[in-house]
Amino acid sequence: MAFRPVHVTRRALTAMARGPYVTLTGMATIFVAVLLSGLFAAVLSGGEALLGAWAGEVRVSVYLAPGADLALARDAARALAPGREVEPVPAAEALRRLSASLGAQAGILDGVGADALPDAVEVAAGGLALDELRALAGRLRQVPGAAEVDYGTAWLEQLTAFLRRARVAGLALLGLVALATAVLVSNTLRLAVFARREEIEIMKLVGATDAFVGAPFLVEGLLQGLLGGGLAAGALLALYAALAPRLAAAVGLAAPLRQADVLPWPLLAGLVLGGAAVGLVASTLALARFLRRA
Amino acid sequence: MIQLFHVTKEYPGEPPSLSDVTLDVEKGEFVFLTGPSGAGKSTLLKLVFCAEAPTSGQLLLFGKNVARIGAAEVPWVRRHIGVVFQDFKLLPGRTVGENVALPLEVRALPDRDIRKRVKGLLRSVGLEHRADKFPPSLSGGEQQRVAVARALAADPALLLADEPTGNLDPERTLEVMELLAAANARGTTVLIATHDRSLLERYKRRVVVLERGRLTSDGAAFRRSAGA
Repeated sequence: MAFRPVHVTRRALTAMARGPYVTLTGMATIFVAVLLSGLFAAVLSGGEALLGAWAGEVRVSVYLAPGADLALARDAARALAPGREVEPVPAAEALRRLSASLGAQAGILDGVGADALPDAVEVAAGGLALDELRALAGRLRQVPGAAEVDYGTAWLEQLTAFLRRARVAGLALLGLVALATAVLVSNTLRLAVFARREEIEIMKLVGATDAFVGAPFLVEGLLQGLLGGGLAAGALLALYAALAPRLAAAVGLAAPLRQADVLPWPLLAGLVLGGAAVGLVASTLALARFLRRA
Repeated sequence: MIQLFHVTKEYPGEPPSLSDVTLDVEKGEFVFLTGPSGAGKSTLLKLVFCAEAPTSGQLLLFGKNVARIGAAEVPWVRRHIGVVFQDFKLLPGRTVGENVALPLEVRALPDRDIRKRVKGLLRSVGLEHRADKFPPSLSGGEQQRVAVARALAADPALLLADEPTGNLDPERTLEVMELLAAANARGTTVLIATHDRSLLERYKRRVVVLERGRLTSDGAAFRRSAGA
């Protein structure tokens, strides 16, 4: 039998129009599942983007032991971090910067000697991922006279580890949500299949194959998934548009976030396609259970 | 056309619905299958229609043994068979025209050909003017004529009818029977399950009698030449 996609789609659309309750229930279920999954993915994606932005502003400081040669350390750092800005920071300059950063409270440094802080070499580490930053810090430990290397990212490390664990947990959760949604939608679609059991029976009486009977149901599941997923993607974009300016105003650290960081197009496309896949799996499950009995 | 060899059909916990039935229906014949309720008439039709498989014995349709046919092959066998039921089995949510078009849709015929064929079929059963109506708005006789038109839509080699006039008054019964006889005259083999003795007397065709699942009589006396 020739496969006629237009004919099959028309039958699916007619069936959806004749049973709007089932269609809306299936779509709503997929919408909620995709929306929740999308929210979770957006938080993860935004978190990772923020981490990248924050890590990009980091400078690696190599603190020197007393008596170490600052010029020698600077040259060594340049050799270990080629192409990067390397700035020698003598103890007196470090104290001045600290004083400046304290502003009105700078008075607490009164009486502190100019050599209270160590000489240091600072290496700009903009644009590096956390792993690369960690590797650079490791190399800079070889600077002659280096007593300590600090890149001020212990909290970034912890956050990164947390996000990594969250991503793994999130993937497992997404799998479960997808499965639960497929089962829920499958049960809804079973109602649709059941409601049309007489039609299916008669179609089979006149020689319809399982493929002929089942194709419109599969298309129906696919369309419900596409519509549910598409609406969820739209809702996520609307949520972003509504919340992002308020979040940036309330939390300055979130200001660098753009839509491409939180809801990149591949993620949105993935959500829509995921919804379609869930709809397809659900209709396949519903149909398989019915046709086995028909 | 239809050959049964020692066919038995049993359901768990019940006496056999059919027991050791051997029967041969030739191409172009018009055969009545009769007997009291529970005699096995409908079971025999279900076997011929591949809705059920015999428990034992062989069943040849169009020369092919369908006793152990796979589920995937059933639709292809059914495309050579038209079926008419006592309760019409029309889809109430589809128009008369759409109901008749079903077997043609299943065969993936182009829409234009389907429309043309449906028009001709409805004309042949006198219901062309009812094409856009829904079955529940039709009388029982009209609904059965629609069912006959649907059964004949794809020019089947074999037409099965299970008590096709069971729900009709005498006048409507004759209308439907004339349609079945006309199909037979055009070469379609017709097998009708009925317990209406008036039909047997009126049409004087071959009569096969079943009682408690056994073939007790094959009325060759009524047998006439194929298509007569």
